[in-house]
Amino acid sequence: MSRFSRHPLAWLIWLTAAFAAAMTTRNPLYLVVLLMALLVVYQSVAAHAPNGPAWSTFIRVGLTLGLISVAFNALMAHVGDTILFSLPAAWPIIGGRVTLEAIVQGLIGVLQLTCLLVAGGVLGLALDSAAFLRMTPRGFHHAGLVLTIGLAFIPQTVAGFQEIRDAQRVRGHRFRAPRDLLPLLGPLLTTGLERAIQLAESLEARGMGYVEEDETDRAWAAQLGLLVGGLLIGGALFSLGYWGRQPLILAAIVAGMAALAFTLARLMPRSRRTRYQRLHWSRNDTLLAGAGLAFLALLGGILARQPALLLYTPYPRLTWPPFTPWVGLLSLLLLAPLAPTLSGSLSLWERVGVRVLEEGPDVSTSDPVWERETKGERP
Amino acid sequence: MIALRRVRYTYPESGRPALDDVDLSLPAGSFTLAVGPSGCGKSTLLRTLNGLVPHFYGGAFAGRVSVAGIDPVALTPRRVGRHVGFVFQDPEAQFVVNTVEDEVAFGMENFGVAPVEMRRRMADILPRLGLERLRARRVDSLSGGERQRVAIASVLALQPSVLVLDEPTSQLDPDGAAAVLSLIDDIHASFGLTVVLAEHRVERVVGTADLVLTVDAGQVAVGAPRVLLAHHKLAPPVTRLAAALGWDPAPLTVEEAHVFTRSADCPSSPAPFPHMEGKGRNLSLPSPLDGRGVGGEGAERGDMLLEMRGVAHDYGGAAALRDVDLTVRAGEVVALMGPNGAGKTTLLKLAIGLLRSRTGEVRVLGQPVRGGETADLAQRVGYVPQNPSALLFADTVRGEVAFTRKTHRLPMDDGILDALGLRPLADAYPRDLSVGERQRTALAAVLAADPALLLLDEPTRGLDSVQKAALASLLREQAAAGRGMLLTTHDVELAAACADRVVILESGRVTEAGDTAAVMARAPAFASQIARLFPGRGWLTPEDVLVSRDALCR
Repeated sequence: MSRFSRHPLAWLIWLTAAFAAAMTTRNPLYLVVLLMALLVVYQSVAAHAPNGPAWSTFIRVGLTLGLISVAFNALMAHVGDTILFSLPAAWPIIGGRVTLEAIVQGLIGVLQLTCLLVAGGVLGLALDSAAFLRMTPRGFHHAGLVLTIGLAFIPQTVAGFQEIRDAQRVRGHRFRAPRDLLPLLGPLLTTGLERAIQLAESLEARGMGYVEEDETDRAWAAQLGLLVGGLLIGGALFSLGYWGRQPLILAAIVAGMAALAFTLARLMPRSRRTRYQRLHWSRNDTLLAGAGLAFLALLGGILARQPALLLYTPYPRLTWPPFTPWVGLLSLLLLAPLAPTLSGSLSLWERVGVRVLEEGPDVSTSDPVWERETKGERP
Repeated sequence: MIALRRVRYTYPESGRPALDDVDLSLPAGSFTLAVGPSGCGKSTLLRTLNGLVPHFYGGAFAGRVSVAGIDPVALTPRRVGRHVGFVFQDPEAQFVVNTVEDEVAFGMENFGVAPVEMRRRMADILPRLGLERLRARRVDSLSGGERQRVAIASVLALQPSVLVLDEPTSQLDPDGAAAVLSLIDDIHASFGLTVVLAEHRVERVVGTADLVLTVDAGQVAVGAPRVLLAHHKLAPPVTRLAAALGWDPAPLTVEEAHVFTRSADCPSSPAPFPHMEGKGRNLSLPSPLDGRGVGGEGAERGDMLLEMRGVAHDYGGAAALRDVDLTVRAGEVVALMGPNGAGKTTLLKLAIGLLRSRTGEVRVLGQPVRGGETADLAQRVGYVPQNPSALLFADTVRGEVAFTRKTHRLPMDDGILDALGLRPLADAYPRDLSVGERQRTALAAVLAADPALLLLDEPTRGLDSVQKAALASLLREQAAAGRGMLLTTHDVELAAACADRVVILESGRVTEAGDTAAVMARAPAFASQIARLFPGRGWLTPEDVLVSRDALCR
């Protein structure tokens, strides 16, 4: 993790670019190039991350679901000229011809899904949840914290579930029907609640939600502001679909956004929280964000001027997808996270240097220890 | 510094008060050890010091509390946090963010400490708690002792004048616990803090406390440790022995007790050891361990129930167990000890087929176990997990027993309730029970299938020494009935009270194995107080000494 960019904003821009790439084309050749670029980034980020295996499980599960969707598409979409075989028409829904085109269409979907999963996986490995927490505006700190804790509860609950399942299995319990889940879910729920209560106590004792004086009236105002702003924007967006761009609707959107901004501004000074770690924007972050923005700009340009470059469909008869080399090579911009590892340890020193100057101790010595021990100390 | 006046508190929906007219006064800078049976109101009392009681729990509160010049009840816990640092039993349950540095900063951020000041405090506290090198580490990669140090650092960063700790070492191995306690003692001296610490393993802390606060059924008393503990049922083993032998002034630590053993009034006879009738213990002279394993060293007292030969296991390449030999025979209790992360739980999981051994052989009742056949094994092997709550789900204690009988297609028979003294609680809701009762209920739920081999993972969690003694005698009874038992424990006194043999695992290897007395003689870190007080005598508990002494002095 040491050499990669650590700024959540830079990573979010990169992720947006990767998502946009995967969502805007169904041309399998471009998608394959994209996937290869993302996999290279994933591999090298995973090599430095302590939670690599968990994410790879997540990606495997996603792929399995994707393959199921291929079968689904092949059996449901009875379109395309290359008929492989036919199922009796009397069979509901799946009856009819099964075509090569439908299978290819499903596979393209899997390719897209894999790109999204791998890109998301990269982000999960490169950043920890605390990084996102640091980025949330002060007024939303509590909401961010609740989300962070919620995310942390997922692996804990999975571990708790395994422990309980093991204990009940050794007790001779067998799982055959849904009601056999009671001996699992009962303890899972109660132990989860017990843990939540302990955490809540700890948060309370450590000054979570500390404010100098009673400001409940301001809290009310803030909630009201959020509600009004949200309703105005939501209602306006809904109406857009019916009546188009009426001036009144646009005004409602502006008013809603103003209400939200006003509420945020009022929320800001409310919490006296300070931040220990400020996010430093380093050269790596500039590089990563720059590459992401450049990619988005170029993609936007293609979509505006020559959208046909990205179009592809296997229907009605499967054809070889077109490939414009410079469009395919655009994906290489998404390799930007690897740039610091290629340009040597310059950027590492830059970051460590900042902290040494600020805090004295040399954290560069702690990194190898950390990596070795996290690998050696799995339960 | 800390003063409670006529404090009376009743939990919501509870008929009787948890604290009943408590008057209490603790001077500034004192180190107070809170002692009391589990469920006595100790934790409740500690939580009044930072306002969690009554603010977090609700209920009826009366009386006045004053801590460091503030009233925590009027101020609410989230404001008291700056004045009273509170460290909880389970460090994992109190962590919010990922890295050590962020965790320590979390409280300071909440209270709006300026970033420059935060960095200054961080630079001051981390080295003093030995966390300097760990500052960038993720908290989930730390050992139990390190985690508890992080928890302590994160409250000290708020510069409180009072530090309250609720059983901070209950999840730690003896070495980890000793390190954390000596750290607390250091902090107490160097920061001039007022410390209040609750602990079930009184012997671990009593040497460093200035005062003892005893809590029983909502009533409290404060006094000098020697005065209050001399005849207390939860006193350390040496103190209980001293009370029985009339040693005065009562020693609280092994070191203090040595004065009396040197001038013992009873002729000290060299070996051989007296035979201990009725305990089923096999005391013998310490013998050098042949090779790495244990097998065959134990008494031939029954059938081989569990046999592990050259067993190894790893998690994704990291070795958890290496070349382990271990046996458990019918009628014996084997204690598996060792530091956190030594591989104890992995070993138990191999024995019940939840994991598969990479090399070597695991046999249960002569049948090879290859992993995955847990359901078949369950007929013969019982397993009580560390947290008994992981098992309990039925509406009544009897329901738990009935469930196990049903899963094994056995006719209903709740005789086990009598054996474990649970008959009066048969219709109680298991989760309403005390920790000790819940532990017994889990034990009953597992024993209901009448397994030949019983495995217990850290069975003393949350138990006080009276409950522990009850558990020890219960395990001895089960052994006498012919069951074989393998238990992992950090509790040397429990091992001393009930184990025939001890196996010590370190970094996945067996480093010591043999009779309990022999192992405790060779590995002082895992020896009971009495074993350290009378080295080479083979005595492990006060009862051992008294029985033998009567035999010798008669």
